Amino acid sequence: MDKAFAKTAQNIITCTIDENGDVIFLATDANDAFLNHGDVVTKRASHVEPVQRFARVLFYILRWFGDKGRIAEWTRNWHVTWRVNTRPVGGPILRVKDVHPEISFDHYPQYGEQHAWWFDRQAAIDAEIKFLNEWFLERGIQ
Amino acid sequence: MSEYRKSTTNCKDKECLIEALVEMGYKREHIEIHDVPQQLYDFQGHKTRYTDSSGDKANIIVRRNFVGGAANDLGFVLNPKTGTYDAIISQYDSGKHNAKWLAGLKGNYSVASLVKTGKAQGLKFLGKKVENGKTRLQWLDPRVKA
Repeated sequence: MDKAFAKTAQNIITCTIDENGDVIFLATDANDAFLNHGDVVTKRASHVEPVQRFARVLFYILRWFGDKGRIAEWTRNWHVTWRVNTRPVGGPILRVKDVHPEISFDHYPQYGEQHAWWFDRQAAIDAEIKFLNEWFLERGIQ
Repeated sequence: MSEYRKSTTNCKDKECLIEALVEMGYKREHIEIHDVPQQLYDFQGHKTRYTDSSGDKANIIVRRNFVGGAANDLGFVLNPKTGTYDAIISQYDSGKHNAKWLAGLKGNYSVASLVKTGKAQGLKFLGKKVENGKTRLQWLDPRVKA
């Protein structure tokens, strides 16, 4: 019998098994417990990027040198607003309706279509993880 | 930035494969398990020779009388090179045990294998959800404070 899921996101590990019996999961230290399951391919799922165009361009120029190291770490601590771009898996730049699927925007669809943004980068990452796990369940990986 | 990993399932764990066969409808008591591969037979009781001219042998076998109809034995042989179990399915039975059936078996194997791994890692299994032909499994990691 299916059990109810816990409500918190940070300590939840999620794996999706697709129609072919293969497994998709986000690359985190905790999820890497499942690395030995089979032959693993790792790909980019999404970006948490600055909302402001100038900052975003600078962000990608600096990140072109790599996602690790002092410069990459510095870009993560910028005092900017952040958005989530899931285009690498064929998804959208997260909109308000993607982040709050429980809210009906039928009367004000323009609010639902607006890009969601966060001051707190970690909050953006939490929303990113939640969205991607739903995306894998609904659409899988093409 | 997030990355995802896609893991192509390899059936390496005998117990999980048996569990998956049970999920696919075979009774556990009808599944033979052999350390030394044993001969497979067709619906007439003759040795099958699909993969080996001297006769197909398998470590995990469902005999033809439990497969149903005028079926041949269904077998899974451990490949010593890859460490995975390869299915031996007759062309006659490939209607029932087709690609869709094998995908279902692999999916059930994945569930059994991931649940087993999660338990070994000290994760608390929260549950399973099936949607759009996909299955989602979730665990609580007690090492991370929510």
